Amino acid sequence: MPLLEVRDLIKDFGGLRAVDGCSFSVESGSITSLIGPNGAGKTTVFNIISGTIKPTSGRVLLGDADLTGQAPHAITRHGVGRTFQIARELGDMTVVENMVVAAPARGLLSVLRRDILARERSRAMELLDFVGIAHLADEQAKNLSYGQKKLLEFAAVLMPAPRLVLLDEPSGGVNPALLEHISARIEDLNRSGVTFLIVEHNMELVMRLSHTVVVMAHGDVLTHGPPDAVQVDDAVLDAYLGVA
Amino acid sequence: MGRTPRGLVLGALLLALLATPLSAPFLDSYNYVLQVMIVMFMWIAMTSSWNIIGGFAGYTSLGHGVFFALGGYLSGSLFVYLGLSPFLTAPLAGLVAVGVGLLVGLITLRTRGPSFIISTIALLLMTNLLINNWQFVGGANGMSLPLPTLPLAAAKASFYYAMLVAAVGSVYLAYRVKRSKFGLGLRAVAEDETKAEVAGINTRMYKIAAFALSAFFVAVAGAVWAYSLAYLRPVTFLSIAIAADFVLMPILGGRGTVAGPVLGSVLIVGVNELSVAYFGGTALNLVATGALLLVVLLFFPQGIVGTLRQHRRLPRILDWD
Repeated sequence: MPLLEVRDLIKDFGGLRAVDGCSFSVESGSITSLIGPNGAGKTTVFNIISGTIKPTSGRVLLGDADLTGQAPHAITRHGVGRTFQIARELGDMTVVENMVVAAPARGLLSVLRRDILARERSRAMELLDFVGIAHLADEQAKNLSYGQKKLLEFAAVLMPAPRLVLLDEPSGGVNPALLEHISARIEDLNRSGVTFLIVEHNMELVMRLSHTVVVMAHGDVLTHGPPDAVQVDDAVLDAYLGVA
Repeated sequence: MGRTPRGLVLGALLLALLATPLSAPFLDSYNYVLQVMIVMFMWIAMTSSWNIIGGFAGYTSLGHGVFFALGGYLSGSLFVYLGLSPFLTAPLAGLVAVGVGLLVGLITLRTRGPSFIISTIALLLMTNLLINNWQFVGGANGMSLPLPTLPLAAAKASFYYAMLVAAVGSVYLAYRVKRSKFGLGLRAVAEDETKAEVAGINTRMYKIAAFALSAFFVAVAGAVWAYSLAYLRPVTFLSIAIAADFVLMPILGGRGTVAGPVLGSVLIVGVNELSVAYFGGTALNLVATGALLLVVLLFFPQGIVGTLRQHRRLPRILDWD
């Protein structure tokens, strides 16, 4: 059963059609990767799913809920978390504050409560421990290394216990040892039921993690299927290398 | 150690401020001292309030003179036409300002950055135009309020206490906001609005609420100030110089910190008064204020409290967050 369904998505930026009738779905409990050459429209699709840009037309469905055109905070509250291509930490806040911000209070009365409640701190510490940066909990986020910032963003996305996590290039700017660590955490979470949609250029990682690979080119879906089938697809080679 | 001395010192300071008007019989310059303190309290109340949107949320407003005027003119009119004491109507003026802040915020907070600042200047200029031409509140000629019937010293003392209450209330409100989830969300908005929104924060509602809340004590201070002046003109509230002070004082002390606007207000009002006292009616007080800003911001780019905290040099007595 699909958790996320993207239907006939179109996005125009002025005269440029960045996404051109893109449709695909993400099975519940799967790790699905979105790949394609630069400019294929992957990040635009990501931004449309998470609500930071509105599609020209088309729909985004999460289970029974229609996410199309909703504000990003509302989409997050439906259980969709996302990371950014370049880690975006709130530098003047501590690591724990970054974590708690990612699970904001709902409703007037809870908004007036103490900024960090004890149970939130312990949940944050659990997740920081899970990604391996619990010792940095009270450090200012801007003092972290780039890799640590990636880990912080990854952990923060998990704070509200999302159903679907969108990862925009988890391997970007990350050394091989850390990447190993991150992909192990993704698999751990996936085993516990979290669905992933990943934009990634590192093919080795894509082929190892994914259950399904969706290949985009020129704003549309070129093909999709299990990694080993996609890997030998002529159209994919053509899109990437211009040869087939 | 740690907590107790700071509470003690601040408590003692508050007691001393409460007792200051009792010094009347022993102090020659009683009226002058109290007047300076009233101005200081007024700016503490207003800049601490402004700091909720301008500091915590990072949205620089040059339009808070509008709420200042709203407080003054609303309470002033209720006094002139209905005989209601501004001391009683000041909180009402604050609530009306919150309502107006909500409506204004719904429009102006669709913009960010420089566009927001310009929209608040537009608000200031439009209000100026409106009041200058509204004869019900005296137009450009201004509006006289009935003088307080109390003896001068007692009247001064009552303005003093009213402004002190506004200042303490405003600082307390800022403190509570800063330590709440609301305040945490505002800080996220200030740093990276898109990130905050994606994290699940309804950034638009947060900003509008912050803008509205930041109007409350500005209007309260405006009501008390109008009463103490007994004569209102648009320029008293709506000049660009006043709009700039709303921004400069928190920047000097450290915008986004609880103690920053307090420190900035005390320093700017203090330096201004001292230079007027020394140099008389020249414009040298402006030079002195400018020099103060220049020197402080050269060495304390995040404001005094902000920079000291960054270098972990902030004395606990100034750490109110």
